[in-house]
Amino acid sequence: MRRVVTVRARVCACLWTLSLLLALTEPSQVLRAGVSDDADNGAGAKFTAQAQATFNGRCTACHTYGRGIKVGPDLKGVTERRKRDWLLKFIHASSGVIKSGDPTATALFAQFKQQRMPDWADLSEKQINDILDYLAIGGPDIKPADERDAATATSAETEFGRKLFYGETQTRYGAQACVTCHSVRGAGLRGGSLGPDLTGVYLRYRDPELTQFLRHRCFNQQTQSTQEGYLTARESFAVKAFLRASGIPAAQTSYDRVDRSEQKEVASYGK
Amino acid sequence: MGNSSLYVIWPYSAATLLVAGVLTRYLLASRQPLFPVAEMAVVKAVFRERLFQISIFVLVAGHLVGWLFPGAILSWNSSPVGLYLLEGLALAAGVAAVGSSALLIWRHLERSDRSHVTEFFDTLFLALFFTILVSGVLSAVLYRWGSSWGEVTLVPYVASLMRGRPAVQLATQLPPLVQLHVLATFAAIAVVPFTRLSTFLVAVLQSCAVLISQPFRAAGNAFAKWSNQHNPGRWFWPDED
Repeated sequence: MRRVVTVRARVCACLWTLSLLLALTEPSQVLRAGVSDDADNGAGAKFTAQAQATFNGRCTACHTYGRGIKVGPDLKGVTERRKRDWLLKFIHASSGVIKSGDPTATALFAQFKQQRMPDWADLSEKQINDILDYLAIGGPDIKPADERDAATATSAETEFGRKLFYGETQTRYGAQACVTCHSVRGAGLRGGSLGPDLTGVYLRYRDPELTQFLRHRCFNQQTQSTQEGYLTARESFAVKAFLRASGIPAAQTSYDRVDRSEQKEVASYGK
Repeated sequence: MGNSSLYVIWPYSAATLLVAGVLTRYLLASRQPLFPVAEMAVVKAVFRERLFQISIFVLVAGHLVGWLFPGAILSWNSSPVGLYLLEGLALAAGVAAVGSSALLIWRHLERSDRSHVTEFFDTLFLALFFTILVSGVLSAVLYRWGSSWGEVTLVPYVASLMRGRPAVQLATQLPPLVQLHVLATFAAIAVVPFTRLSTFLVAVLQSCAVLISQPFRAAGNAFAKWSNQHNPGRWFWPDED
């Protein structure tokens, strides 16, 4: 009789352990999915996505960036033409600045057929500064970092790509290492064979197509949120650079000659 | 049959059949107390091979750990040595399971003490089981490092099934051999209630029922004891017990 109770206790302990494991597993997945990175805007430049969205939503109706006058002045170089304090005051309450008799504001008011810019009083100083920072570094002209030609990659960037490919460095959003399913020349047994060998993929698809390809998940997941990231622009570029290096013998040769100073640079890259 | 039927309707149908079938068997077993004992003796006789038991345990435990802790498995596999060890162990267990299950099927075919219906479903289950094992071993050989890519394809697919929003594309993009492994598993799950293997599940269900009812039974006994001690009738009629 005692033996039967012991077996039941074991079954009970197993069920409890299983429940506990399930309970522990679920939050870890939630935490992983909840990782966000405002600094990663796909361009490699430091501006917030909110600043870009606010600029597109509120400014582009009347202003262009490098395409001349629309309703208001062209905003390319505005952060160099005007002082930051003046811009902050003018964007926040242009009517007040014009009424105060500010010469620049008055001149603009006259130049643009007495069309006054709306007072964006609801924007905080930080929000306006973020928009100005965005304009200062190129605004809508900023190209995503992953669109850079892989031929311009440094040895450090290629090595970073190699580490990402082999899973030696974790991607920011936890995307699975390429080696899980793919192989390249030199990977040996370490490369997976579920997907195709990627040795010549750079030559087959060329740079722009590979850039587009790396922006999407290998496996489309219907249930995944579109907000969730896959690779950052910098990671995508690094992987592209590594694929180029592994597919082009000459590039591979030069890549293999990474000197010691560059190795140190590699160690700090991606941190 | 379209992908949605295969990867959405089929898994849920298989799970429903399993649950409904085992519950029915459980209810039938409660009416016939000797039924599970006799059936289990037969099942134990067929599955007595130690190598089979160990290899299946390793495979099932491996799949379960991979499903519950995908991050831990991927982290373990990030080291080549760890990856080779895990895959080597899984492959050895798979090959052992294929060999021993072939022996098991042969033993099953030698027996003839059963009804035609039971014989059909037992044979069908064993055939599906063998298909699962062979397709699993071949997938491991042909598509390297299944313990890694399975964590980013099949585990999220099963998780999506559990959440009630099946991500069909995760399974349909896999090679046909891997799809066979998945679909044969669902088929085997659906067939289990019609085989004598279901007696094991009935026994587990009975143990769970006993475990769950134990606290209630203990509470009922305690209450009966307490009410017996504090019976107000004793105050009125102290001479009577």
